Amino acid sequence: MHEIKFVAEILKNLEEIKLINNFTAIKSVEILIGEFSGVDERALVASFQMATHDSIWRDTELKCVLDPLKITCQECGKTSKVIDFDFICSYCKSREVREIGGKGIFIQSISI
Amino acid sequence: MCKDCGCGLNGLSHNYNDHGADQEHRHRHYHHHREDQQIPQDQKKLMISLMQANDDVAQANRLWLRNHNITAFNIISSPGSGKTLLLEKTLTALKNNLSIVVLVGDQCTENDASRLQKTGVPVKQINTISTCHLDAPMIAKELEAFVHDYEPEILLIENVGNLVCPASFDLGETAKIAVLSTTEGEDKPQKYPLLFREASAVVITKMDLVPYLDWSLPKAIENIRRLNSRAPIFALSAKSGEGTEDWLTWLTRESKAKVV
Repeated sequence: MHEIKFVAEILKNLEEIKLINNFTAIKSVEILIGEFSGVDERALVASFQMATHDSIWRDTELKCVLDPLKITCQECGKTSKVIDFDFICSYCKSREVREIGGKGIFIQSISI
Repeated sequence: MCKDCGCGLNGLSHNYNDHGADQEHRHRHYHHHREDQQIPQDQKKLMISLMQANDDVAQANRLWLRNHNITAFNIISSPGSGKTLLLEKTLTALKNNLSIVVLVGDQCTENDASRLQKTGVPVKQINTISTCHLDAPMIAKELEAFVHDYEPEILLIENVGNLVCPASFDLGETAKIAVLSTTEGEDKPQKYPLLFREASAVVITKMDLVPYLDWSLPKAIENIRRLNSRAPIFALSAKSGEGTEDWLTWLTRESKAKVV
C-alpha cells in the first residue's frame, strides 16, 4: 500500500537527518512495519531499491522489522498475540481487547 | 524534547514500547520538527512515523470539526457496494431534521456528487486523480472552503471505493463506517481486517438480493465480530428501505451525542 510514497518519506527524513547532524553517510535505515499497517515489506524494499539505485542513497541498506500485533485484554489484563486477525484474548476468551503496537510504519533507527 | 516523557534529551534513548497501548501518546510523540532529528553521536534510535504528515493534518481537522460541533463520518467500502444509494436514501430521510454536508471522493467524474446533489443537500466532489483514497489534506482544504459555509451538524465523507488504503489514512473523522454488500460474500472482513476492526459501525447493504445468493447473515456477522465486538451492524436494503430505520436512528443519535 503506497510503498513508493513511504520510500519518498524515508528519503526525505534521511536527507534532513544527514544535513542536521552533518553525517557523511547513512549506512542503513531500519523500518518498523506494523503487522496491521497494510504495508508490504517486499514491496517497500523493492521500491527503495528502485528509488535509490542511481542516487546518493544507493549504498544505504533498508532493513525491515515487523511490529507484531498484540492485544491487551480489558477483562483479565493479559497480553496475547492476534492469530488470523481474530481479536480474542488467548487466556479468558474475552473480545474486550485493545491493540498494542502492530500499526503504522516508522523509521526506527539508523546506523552511520 | 517531548513534554510527555522527556525523550530527545541528549544521551537519553527512547523505546516506543515504553508507552504500551497509549496510541494517542505515540502519535503525538513522533515529530517531523528538525530539532527532533538532532541525534547525539552515540544515539541512533529514532521513531519517526511515516504517516506523520497526514496524521498531523488529520488531528487539525478533528479539532476544527469539534470546535464547529460537526460530527464527521468516513464511509468506506469497495466500489459497487451501494454506498451512494445508501447515502441518497440517508440524505433524503434525514435532511429535514439534520443539517448535513457531503464530500465525495472518486478518482474521476462528478457522477456521485451529481446524484447526491439531487437530494438538495450540499455536496462537493473531490477528484483524487491518481490517488486511491482521500487523505487529510484533501479534507482540510474543503473544511474552510466549503463545509464551513453551511454550518452543518453532520459531515458525511464518501471515500474512494477501496477497502485497503482508506482504512489507513486518518481524515480527522469522528468515526469510520464500513459498508459491505451481500454480493461481496461473507469473508470480506477477514480479507480486509483493518477497516472492520477500526469501524464504529458496519452497514451490510443489498439485503434484498439475499434470496438469490448463497450468503448467510449469521456467518457475515460472525466474521465481523471476530474483528470487532462492539460496532453495531445494520443489515439493510437501501433500495427497498427495509432495515434502514435502525441505521438512520443510530446516525441521528451519534450526531447529537457528538461522541462515537
